[in-house]
Amino acid sequence: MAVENNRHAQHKIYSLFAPKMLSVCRQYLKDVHLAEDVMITAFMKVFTNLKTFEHKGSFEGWIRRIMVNECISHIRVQKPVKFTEDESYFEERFNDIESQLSVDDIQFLIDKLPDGYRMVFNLYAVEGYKHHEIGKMLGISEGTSKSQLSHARKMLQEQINKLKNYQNGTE
Amino acid sequence: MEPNKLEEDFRDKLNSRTIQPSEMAWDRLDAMLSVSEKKKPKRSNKWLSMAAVFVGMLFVGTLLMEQQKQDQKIKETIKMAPVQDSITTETITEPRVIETVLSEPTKNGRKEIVTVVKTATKVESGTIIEQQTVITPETQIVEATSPKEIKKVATMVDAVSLLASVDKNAPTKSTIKKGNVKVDANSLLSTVEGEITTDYREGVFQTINRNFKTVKSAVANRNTE
Repeated sequence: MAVENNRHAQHKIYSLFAPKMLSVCRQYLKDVHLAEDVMITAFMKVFTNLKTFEHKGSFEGWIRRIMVNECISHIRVQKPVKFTEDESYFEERFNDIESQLSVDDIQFLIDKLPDGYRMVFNLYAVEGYKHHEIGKMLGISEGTSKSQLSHARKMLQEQINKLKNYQNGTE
Repeated sequence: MEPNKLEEDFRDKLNSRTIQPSEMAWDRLDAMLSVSEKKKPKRSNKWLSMAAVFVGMLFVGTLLMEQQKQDQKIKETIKMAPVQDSITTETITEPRVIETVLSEPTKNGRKEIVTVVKTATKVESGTIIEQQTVITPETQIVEATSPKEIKKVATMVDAVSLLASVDKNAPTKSTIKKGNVKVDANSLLSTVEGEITTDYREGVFQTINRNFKTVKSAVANRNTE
């Protein structure tokens, strides 16, 4: 590919996708500086593996997958994530109300989740992966993935309720 | 377990978000890319080090082969040793012609009786070497038939003249001497083996050390660059 070893072209790609990709990394990592470090490492992989891009999907989607994988491997290397092997899950649903939450509020709520819940929630709710795909990515069973998601939803619901009560002045 | 409105709202808001990286971020990425690009041609160095290791292995292999050849040679010579012994015994048992001759007149003007032992030795090639052993009265080994003759022989004999009378057959004398030397095959083998093992070990260690240094320096250079 012409982009390989062409620093000008690489800079163009970086400038185009870096702000979006830093946001993706921030979803998984609580610290923005750490998220930036991981994003740089992921961009390195993007530029060194450009040959492997098969033009099957969108280029942005390919870069995004690299970012997500890099974030997950970083979290798992830094601290082994414990996924409780709980195959039972419950239908925890959010109250179907129109959210008044800002993106910073959402990020605040996601940051409150434990690493395992956060990863599964992001992969399922934001990235749109299926449970069997998440299971493969994280090395867990499909049931465990579902269980982690229901726990994450429950925890988020509680946090949203608390936030609403706080905003309404009832708490 | 399907995403609901709230999750869709989360997704939309998070996906539309952008966070501007710091200005240093690109510089860092640029530096990392430069390093990785410089590292790429280093692959030849890797091959070079691998080739060096291969050559080293070949060298060690050759040394081993040489070692085996030497071992075989030693074994062959050891096998030959007993054959030499039998030859010596044969020479001893072969008939001797003992001649008693008068030597050249000495300073005193006296002629002395000298016993010359002529031995015909058969060598492997088939040629017969005639050897003469001169027994002087000084050695007190005299072949005699009667006690009277012994008295006659026990006169003074000049050593120098006797030596002079010993003709060109002198080298064969030494071969006889050599034949009489007994060789302990086992001790000889153990000595030679010990020496060769030491040399071989030193050679192998030197080779390994040299190759290790080459690889080490190659890796160190690669890491520093």
